[in-house]
Amino acid sequence: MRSTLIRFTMRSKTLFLALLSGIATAAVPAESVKIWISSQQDKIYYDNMVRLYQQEVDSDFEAEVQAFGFREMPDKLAIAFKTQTNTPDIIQLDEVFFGMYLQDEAPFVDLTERVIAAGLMEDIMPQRLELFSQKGRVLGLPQSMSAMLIYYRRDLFEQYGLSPSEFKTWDDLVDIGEELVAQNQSFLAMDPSYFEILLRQRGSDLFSETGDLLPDFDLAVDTLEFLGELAQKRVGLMPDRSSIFDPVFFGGDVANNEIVAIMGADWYGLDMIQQFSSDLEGEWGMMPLPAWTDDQGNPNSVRTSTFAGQGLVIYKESQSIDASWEFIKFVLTNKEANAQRFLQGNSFPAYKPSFEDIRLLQPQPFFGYDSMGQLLVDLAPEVPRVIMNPRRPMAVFMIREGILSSIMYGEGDARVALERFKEQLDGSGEPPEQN
Amino acid sequence: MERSKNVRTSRIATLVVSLATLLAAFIFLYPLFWMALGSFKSNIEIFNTRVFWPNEWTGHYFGILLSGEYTNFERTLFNSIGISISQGIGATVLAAMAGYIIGTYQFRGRMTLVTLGFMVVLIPAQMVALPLFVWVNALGLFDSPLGVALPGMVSGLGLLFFARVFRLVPKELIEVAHMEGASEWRTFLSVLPLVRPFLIAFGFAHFVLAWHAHVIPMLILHSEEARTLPISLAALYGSSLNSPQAVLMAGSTIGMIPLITLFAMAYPQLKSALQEFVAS
Amino acid sequence: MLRYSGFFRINLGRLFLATPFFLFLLVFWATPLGEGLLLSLESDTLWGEPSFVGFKHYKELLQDSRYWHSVANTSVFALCTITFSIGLALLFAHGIRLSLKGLQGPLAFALVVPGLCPPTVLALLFLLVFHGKEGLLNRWLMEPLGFETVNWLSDPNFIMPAIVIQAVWRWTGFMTFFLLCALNARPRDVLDAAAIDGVNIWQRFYKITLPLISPTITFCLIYLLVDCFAQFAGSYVLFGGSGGANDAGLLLVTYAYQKAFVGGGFGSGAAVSLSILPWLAGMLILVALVPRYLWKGARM
Repeated sequence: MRSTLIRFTMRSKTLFLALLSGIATAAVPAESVKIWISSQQDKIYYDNMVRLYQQEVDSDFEAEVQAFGFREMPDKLAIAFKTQTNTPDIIQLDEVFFGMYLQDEAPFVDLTERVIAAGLMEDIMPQRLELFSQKGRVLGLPQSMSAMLIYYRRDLFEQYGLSPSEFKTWDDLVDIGEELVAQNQSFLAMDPSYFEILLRQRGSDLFSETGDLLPDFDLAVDTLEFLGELAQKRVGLMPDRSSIFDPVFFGGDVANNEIVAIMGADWYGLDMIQQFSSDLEGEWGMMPLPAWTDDQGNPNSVRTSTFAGQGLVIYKESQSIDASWEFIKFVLTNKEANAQRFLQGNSFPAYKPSFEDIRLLQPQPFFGYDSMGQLLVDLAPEVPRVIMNPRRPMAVFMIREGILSSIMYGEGDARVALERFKEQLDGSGEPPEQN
Repeated sequence: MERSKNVRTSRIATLVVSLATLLAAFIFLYPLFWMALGSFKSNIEIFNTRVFWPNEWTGHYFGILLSGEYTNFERTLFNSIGISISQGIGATVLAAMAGYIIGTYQFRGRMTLVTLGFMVVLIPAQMVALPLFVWVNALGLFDSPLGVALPGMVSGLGLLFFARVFRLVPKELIEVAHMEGASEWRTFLSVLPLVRPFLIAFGFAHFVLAWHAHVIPMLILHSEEARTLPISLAALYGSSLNSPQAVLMAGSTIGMIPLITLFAMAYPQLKSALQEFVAS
Repeated sequence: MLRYSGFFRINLGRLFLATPFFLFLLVFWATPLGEGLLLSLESDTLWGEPSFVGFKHYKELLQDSRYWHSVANTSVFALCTITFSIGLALLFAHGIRLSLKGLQGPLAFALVVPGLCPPTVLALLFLLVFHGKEGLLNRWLMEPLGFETVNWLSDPNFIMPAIVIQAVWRWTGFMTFFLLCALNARPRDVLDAAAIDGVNIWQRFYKITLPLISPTITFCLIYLLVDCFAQFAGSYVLFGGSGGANDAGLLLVTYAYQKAFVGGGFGSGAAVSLSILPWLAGMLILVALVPRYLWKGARM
């Protein structure tokens, strides 16, 4: 119905334009590859990468890099796809938003053949490669490893006589936390994303492969209750804005030493902590996550987890698919490109050959001469997978701003909250496509 | 004695009320002071609400703003001014002309047109943003200032306003003009000077609304060269909290100057127009 | 002042004057509206040909608890904003009139300035103002006045007040200005007569002033109502498209946005958008009856 109207309009368009002379329409050179990025910082990086690519591989390559707001970019993308207007060629998309396009056939190029031909099946961490995929087809390449670490304050550890080796299990953390609370000190900052991060660490996820929400419901309840307990005991402290991604958190809670540690991914430490806590240079250290234990108290989980992380996808109807592929392959595999991403404070790559790059492994003054790279390389095999689902964006969104926050402030019943969450998510959309 | 005591009390009362209202105005303006001061602060200072005065009064961020590193400030300011002025003028012209007919004459179907105007008030363009985007694009106006300005010239409020305004015009003037054989257009022009303050008042109001517009310009204006100032600045906040937010604050502060200036200039006209309008 | 009631013939001149407006209306308002209606009757396919699903989205909305929550929220938001904004505006308008002559203009001007600032750029400012312990509102207003700090952006009980506060902050200035003009426009003779007759202040206000300024109040009400129901900017800038904890700040426009951009369903988003109209109309009727009642009361 609507397309008929559009087609009719298209035909009368020429007549209309003839009547209204003097309207200029912007013309973009057809050869230039359009790249949409979701942060100003990343734009700088990609502008550099375009130049590097022109120098090293193809001097005729033309690209136009545009940055939008983190929230604005997925909005513009959704509209571009819906209206088939002004579509980009390459998009840097966060995995949290990727799921939105999986409702039907995803509008991204199937890269599987190319990935195999380039040998990337072996070279990219498999659990990250499968992140941007649909029904076994690779649709995008992951930019980062996104492994979770615990960033802790060295000076406060010293003050309280703590050391990373004491934090072998989450029980250890709770015990030590309670001792600190007795001295009026909270230990861990909290964030809504911790729910799925911990769930993933314990071997489950928000969605199952068949698309069920919270497949292991009891484990989910237990995890949420654990977080609620942390809050109630004041071992965990929820920031004002319920988010560790809020800069005011650094100026407030962090600067006032109200928390000792934050659980975050590689890009969190590189980007946010380095930027907003720059006056605490040298006072930050890193350690793996404590492990979960079985009934006998033996550790039975991995020591890291994952959440979010950007990837590069190519629009299916792009006029420059091959050029786009060559470029993103370059960005993901070129030694310099990977190193720059880390050194410029963006993220740690998921590309295994770069794990041997000395630049990524060297000690960092900001982190008290710890090597984030080495720690990440050690944890890499343990990084769990994220099970993608069309409802994932909505789920993350609702967790972030919805019912679960009161639990994390220490109030309410976890089981009831999760049942409500399930009810609302199930009621707010069409049943998901089998992924 | 009694009289001077009353005068004194009323003078004290006036002072007290003045101070109270002054305090209220100060509270209202306080956040904007903060914004203006933010133009001089580093990110760490901005995000720490204990810091009121900037560490140093540096023009550094204004420099970055004007250098075009994050946003083409002059261009976007120019776009905003251009698009908002054209909308202000266009909406006033359209609404005044139509309002004249509706306000001056009685005819069949008049009520329908008024209701239509009212519907436009109740269903602002924002609510049908996506279809509007598709349509504007189909007309070839994507990324063009006309794509924002033309739709923005439809103001239901304007129609209702001018319909009411032209009702104030004494019908004798119209009758006289007709008897002298003037065409409708000439009659309209002759009546126009009488409603000048209302034209200015409405034009200004619509200009402000156009300046503030968010959803439609964001959809239709895509390239950096075409964007309006508020959208361009807002992208700075959304896109990366690592970018110096003082640039955003500096841009917003400067961006308010045209609005404030215009308001100051239009203030007396606005006041008299509104007072006359209400008195009717 | 009556409308010219001579015989009205349509001639070219009159057509020329009236048509442009309605032509623009047809092209730039009616057509997208029609399209929007069609969109709301389509499936939520993001990429590819959508199918016709009739009133499916609307039916789903009626069953959707979050939708009804947003309706309730939007109504509360509108009513609170109207009450506080117009209430404060009346207070300020009188205050300005009673202030020192030289200050009157600047005061009215100063109050309007927050309304001149485009809401789009206020996101950062609002973050700083409405933050919890560190927020400006808490540190400079709540604490000095002896209240406990409130976590405006995260505490479900205070999220709606935060949205109301930002709306009141932006609009009170304009409302004050309108009411100031309305108060100034009252005929002097009626007021003087009342003063001489010894009518007290409250009666003067209720029986004389209120009826005289009631059309202005109605105009302010309508303007605010439409803004509260249909404008996205204010709450978007505060919460970025989210409804806050427990959906405490979920407005109809927020829900429409979420449906479209987070859930990827433009059809259902359009349905929510278009469903705003009946609620707005209903609220308008409700609210327009109030001044009429006041006026009738004054007439007695």
